[in-house]
Amino acid sequence: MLFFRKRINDDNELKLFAAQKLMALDDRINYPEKLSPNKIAEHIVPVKGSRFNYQRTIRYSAALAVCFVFVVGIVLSLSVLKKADPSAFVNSRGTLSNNNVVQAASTVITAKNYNDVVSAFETIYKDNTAYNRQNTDMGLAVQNGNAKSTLAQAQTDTNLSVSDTSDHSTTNLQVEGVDEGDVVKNDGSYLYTLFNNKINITDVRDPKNMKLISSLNFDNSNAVELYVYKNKLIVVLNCCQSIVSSSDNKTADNSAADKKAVASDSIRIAYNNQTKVIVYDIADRSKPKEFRSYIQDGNFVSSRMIDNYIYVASSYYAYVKDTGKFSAEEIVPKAGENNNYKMIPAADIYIPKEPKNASYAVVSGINTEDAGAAVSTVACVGSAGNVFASLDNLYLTSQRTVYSTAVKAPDANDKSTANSTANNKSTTKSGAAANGAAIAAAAPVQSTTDIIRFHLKNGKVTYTGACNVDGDTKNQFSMDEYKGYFRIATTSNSTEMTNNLYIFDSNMKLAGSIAGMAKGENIHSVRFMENRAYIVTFRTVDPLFVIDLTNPKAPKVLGELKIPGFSDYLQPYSDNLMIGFGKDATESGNMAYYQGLKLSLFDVSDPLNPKELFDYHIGDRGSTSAVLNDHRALLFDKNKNIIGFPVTIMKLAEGAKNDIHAYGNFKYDGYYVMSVDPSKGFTFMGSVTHLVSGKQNDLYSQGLQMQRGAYIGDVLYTISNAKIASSSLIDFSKLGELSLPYSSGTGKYADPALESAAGSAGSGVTAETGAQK
Amino acid sequence: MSENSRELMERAKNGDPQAFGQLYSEVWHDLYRFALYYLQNKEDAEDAVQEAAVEAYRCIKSLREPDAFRSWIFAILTRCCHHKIKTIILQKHNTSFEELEQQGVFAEAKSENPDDKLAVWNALDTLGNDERLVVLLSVVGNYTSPELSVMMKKPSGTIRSQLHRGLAKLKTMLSEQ
Repeated sequence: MLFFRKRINDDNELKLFAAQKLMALDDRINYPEKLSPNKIAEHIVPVKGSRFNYQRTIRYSAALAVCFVFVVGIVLSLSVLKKADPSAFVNSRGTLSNNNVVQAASTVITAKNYNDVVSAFETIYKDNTAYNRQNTDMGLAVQNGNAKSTLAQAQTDTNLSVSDTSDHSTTNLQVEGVDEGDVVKNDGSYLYTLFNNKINITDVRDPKNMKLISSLNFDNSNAVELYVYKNKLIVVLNCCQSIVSSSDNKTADNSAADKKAVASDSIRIAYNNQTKVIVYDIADRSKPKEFRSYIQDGNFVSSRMIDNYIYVASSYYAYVKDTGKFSAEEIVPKAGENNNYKMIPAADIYIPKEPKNASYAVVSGINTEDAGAAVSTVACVGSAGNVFASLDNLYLTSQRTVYSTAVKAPDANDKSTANSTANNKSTTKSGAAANGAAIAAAAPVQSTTDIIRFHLKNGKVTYTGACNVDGDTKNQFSMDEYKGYFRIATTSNSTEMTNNLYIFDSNMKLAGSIAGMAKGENIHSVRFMENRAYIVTFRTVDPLFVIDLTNPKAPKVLGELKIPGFSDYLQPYSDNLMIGFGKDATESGNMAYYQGLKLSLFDVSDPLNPKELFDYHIGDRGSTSAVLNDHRALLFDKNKNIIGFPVTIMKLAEGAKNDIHAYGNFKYDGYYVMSVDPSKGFTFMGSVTHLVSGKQNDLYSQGLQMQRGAYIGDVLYTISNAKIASSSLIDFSKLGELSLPYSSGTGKYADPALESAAGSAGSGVTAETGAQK
Repeated sequence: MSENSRELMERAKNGDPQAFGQLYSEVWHDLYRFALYYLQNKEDAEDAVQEAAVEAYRCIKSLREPDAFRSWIFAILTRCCHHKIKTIILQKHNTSFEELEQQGVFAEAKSENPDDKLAVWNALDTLGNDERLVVLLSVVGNYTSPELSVMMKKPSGTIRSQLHRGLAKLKTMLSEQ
């Protein structure tokens, strides 16, 4: 027996050893494009545009959810009833109500000390005994997923100092003045590109003779996006991956008898990320110098930059023992400069009164001009999904699912962990049983989104309130702030899919709402413009809703337009015109099959009667553009009257022309530039490709898939992973070309600090968790 | 976070491709890592992951335990990999690391420790198929040995000793560096 135990410990050490060794390989993998979720979607999705049959779906999911409740029964009911706010369910059925939203400003409190944090986690743990397994299995992965789906950033630079050419493109931003990071930045003289963990700075002032000036390598991390602000280049990385092991004695799918016996040899290897911001001084573009850096725990979620302050959000999951007893060291996220990386002070940690997720959203504000300025970091127990930032506030969504159950809640879940500032011990939540009855009658599964608001001021991040709405947000464009009011559009997915719009005042109190729009459909895109909201939903046709928000207390649907297809992104063109970027679709029974790409020009001058003035179709079924998922890939300039975007075009074979199910074959990958005219619609101006061979395989293997476009004056620069090409924006003749180091690195400016940080931080965490075993 | 996954699962099980895509996006790097290390060549690894994804979407309704997406799709991938090894190519035809670098599977060697990953690669190659499988499922796939024994329908003792043997071999080979 003794021998046996020793062997188990050995195995755990061996496992960690192997995982560490494998990281040498992991770090270098170029993940093949053909396996990316987008590409896979083309294989797995015969009818993407169609929303499946809702009637059936709903009944099925209801039945399923009921089964689920019985199977996982107790586990869930504990946490479920607690989070189920009965009024939220009223709303889910489409009732318009002003009382249906949790007034959460008072439901989040600051931790007085780490004990508050610990007790919050212990409650979460108790609430959900399946917790450890779910989170070790899924927690990190989901965080990664979030990070990807919410990287809604861009390439802009509002205040330039290097450039004397003010006529150049910047990133397509949601909010003017709130910069978003991207993989390409353009300052009018240089292009800054970030692909494969390498930043290249290219002097493009002479388009016929572009020169690679310098490179930065981030070999041990995953560099996500960059900013350029005056003479600073800022890169945001997911890095310092450390291996943590976590014990696990619950395997859900197995009879439990012998599991206890072998439980002790069951450790999981899990990976924890940190998010790192490095600021480089690029006064000399050929010699970037590290100016300051900052690390915070958690996977990168999103960032914004306002003036010289960058705000970074990450999502941190604390791996814990499955004993249900935690120490502060185990669960409190850390942050700091390289030499001062430590636990976030309790006073900067916010805990919802009823904490649900065993993870944190971590937000920091960093001054990129003053290396000595203190960095403000706050953490909020909960998760981080989509991020919207205005010039003053940052809103962070945290989506979760509420499960209803017919099982009455035992009193055990009446405990509230996080103590309000007034009374220190747990408060009793009355009426849970009564709530239970209401819930039982309501939808079995209901998604809900918590929104946390942080005030941003010169790098200082302050928690200023929270609220909760029904449904999910689609992306950052689902949110907006105007004249102190926060607006958010969601899709609820309970008994029937419906869409909602909520408006909150500056105290995060609900001012007004519209619930139950477009039953059976979900939101494809949203755009708020001052007193209007435009919402595109889709099932078989595309209703574009025009909603008047002039009176925040009484938002009103003015008009709707039904046309074939859907827009995944809405670009305001002028006060009354809007460009829709999406896909065409062909109806067939109660389904619709998406077809090629489609651009629409909408006229909303008569809001009661929106019109589609023009449309433009590109390619057949299977054609795609990065813009569909990432607004940063779009180049739009009204004064220059251009709209540019990368496309991959598929064409149907002759025989398949009339088959709405058929996919086209690869035809073209490149950059399209069109002009938009309110009286003439879209006109194709020209295109540029990097794929000389025309072979689809080379796109991915040689890194030639078009990523972004940018312009300076009358020169168009098109950028793929491996190449920058310059062309005339007048006649699209080729001016020059520069190959970027694609998979090979010079390593000239490899960042030694990064590696040492990875080493120290990484081993620290590993040693800590390792010691528990 | 797990709440999120469960919600996604419900949607994916009802055929929502976007929800499936999101679930997939959370695991695809690990799936590819696993397939690449196990099969040790680019085409087979890519094929296997693609097949696994298509198969997973096709039969996602059969997934009972909503939290188990990750281990479930790993199990499918394992089957796909097996299929490659056993029926299509009859034996693993691994590619040398240099070749793979040329194919762009890995970014090129860093100056600091060019031998490191080569050593890991070759060490993996030295393991028997079964050993490599359990080691990778455990280290990349996050499976615990009781789970492995369920999945591979082998007694847990067998799995444990295979795992131990594989891990110990790796340690010996890589410690000599």
